[in-house]
Amino acid sequence: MTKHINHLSTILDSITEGVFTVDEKWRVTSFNRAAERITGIPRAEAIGRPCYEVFRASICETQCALRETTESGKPVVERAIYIINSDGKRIPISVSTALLKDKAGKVIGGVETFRDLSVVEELRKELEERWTFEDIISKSARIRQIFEVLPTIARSDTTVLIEGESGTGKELLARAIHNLSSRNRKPMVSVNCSALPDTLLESELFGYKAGAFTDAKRDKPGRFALADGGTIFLDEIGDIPPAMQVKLLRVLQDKCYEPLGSVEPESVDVRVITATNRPLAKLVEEGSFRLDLYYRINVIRLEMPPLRERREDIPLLVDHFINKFNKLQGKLITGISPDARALLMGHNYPGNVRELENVIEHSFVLCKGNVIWVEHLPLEYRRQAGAVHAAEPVKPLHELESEFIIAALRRNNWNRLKTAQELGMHKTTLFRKIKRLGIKLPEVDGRYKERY
Amino acid sequence: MAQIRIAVPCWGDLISPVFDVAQNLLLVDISDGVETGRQNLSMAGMQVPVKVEAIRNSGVDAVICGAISGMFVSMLTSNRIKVQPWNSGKVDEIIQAVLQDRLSDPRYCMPGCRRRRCRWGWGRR
Repeated sequence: MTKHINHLSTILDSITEGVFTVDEKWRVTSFNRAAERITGIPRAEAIGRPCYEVFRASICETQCALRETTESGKPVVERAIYIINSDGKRIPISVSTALLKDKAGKVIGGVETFRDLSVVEELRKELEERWTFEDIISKSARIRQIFEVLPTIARSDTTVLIEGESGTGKELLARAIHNLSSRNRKPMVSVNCSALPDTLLESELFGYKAGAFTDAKRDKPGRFALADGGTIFLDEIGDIPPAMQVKLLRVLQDKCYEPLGSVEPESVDVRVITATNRPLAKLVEEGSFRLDLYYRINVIRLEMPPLRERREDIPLLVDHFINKFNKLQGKLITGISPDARALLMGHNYPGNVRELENVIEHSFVLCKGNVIWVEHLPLEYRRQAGAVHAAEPVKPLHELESEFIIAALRRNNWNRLKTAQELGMHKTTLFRKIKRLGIKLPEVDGRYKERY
Repeated sequence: MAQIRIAVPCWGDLISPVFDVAQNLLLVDISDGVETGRQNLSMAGMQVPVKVEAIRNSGVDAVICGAISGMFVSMLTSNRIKVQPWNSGKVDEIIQAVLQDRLSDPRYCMPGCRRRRCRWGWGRR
């Protein structure tokens, strides 16, 4: 018998998963070497103590896995939780449970096995870092192209125009340019031009002198003065009134301006980065935006693609936001269920990355466990999924896949390389799918168009 | 007269094993080494920053608890709240030990707790 126990102990010590057993009074009866390593508690101190004092898991108090198994008779498998080790660190683990019974089938205790997920977490972080540039996360080919040229653009000190829908991360891009530039020790001042009434915009941007108007009792510097030596980021530039366009043009051309109520021009050394979610070229055609200003700000133009055109970034961003809110809210949500992830992948995101961030924050409020399920998503997402399911008859998977690929090909003017990039797959994978699904391609496609 | 308020996370009649997820907090007022009052503070469903704010707003001077994450300790100590972690046992016995200044007795220490952590040191303001 002693020999048998020794063998068992050797076997338990040789495995990489932590294992401990408890008796019917919840006192630890065995504790293997991996359990010592993961918890930081020596076996001699663990044996005989109540399991909750040793394991110190996030579920001990309210959702003890072993108690659940004792009551239901069913084992808990790979539940993601965290424990506090002896150094006060939260260690993410996955835990499984089983009951210990004697020969007569009477429950005499339980066994818990647990796996340290820190390594998995580290790998996830490494992967995220690989796809992160400054604070922008993306593996989309279009954004990676921007990442490549960004250091050169940052060093050049020229005016940059960033175009993109609301919520695509235009300000993050502007900040990345500022951080990479030689002006990074000076401030970057952001102004949302559409958030200020026309009458206030001038005094906000250029400041005013005492006596310029009623209640102007002392000089007030404008945003340009505050950004001196650094960068000014003018968001929603397409919304500024014609009179302000002229004044802005003067700053860009002569690097000087006149504060409200002043007769002396003030010079300023500032880099101007502008952004818009409206097509400026069209506004020029319509006559609501000055052509000369357009040329001045459009020296280098960057376009942030909407999230629906870089769906391969959705899983990365979901993981990033889960990690962010875990830190902010002190939670340990480990991921999102496949169904919920599919719903997020299928959404169109008119609000772009900001909308996705809000969805994850919403889910965090409702999620009491460790995984975000479909029911934690906002109602409109679930309704959308329900409506699709209810309205459409079920189609075979290959038909759905075929329709999905054809739609993506059409969006990319039948250019297969671009389509593969949008779908986040290698071009040979796309070719193989096109062949297998029998998708007919037009003779002239996007590639030929580009060569002409 | 020296008056302090301590907070002990409770799980039934025991001290909560993990402060980060504790649902209830017992606030104990102590004046010159004598207990002068008790009240409960529910922390059910609160996120960590909200818990810290609730503890601070309750006028707590020190938290006596079981296991606690370093992140939580930093947030409490930055709010000038002392933390004495790694305690285990029955809440009433822990409070008596605090009153009689014998909390460093090994019987109140969690397994894996090194002596230095069982003193008023870690998290001293």
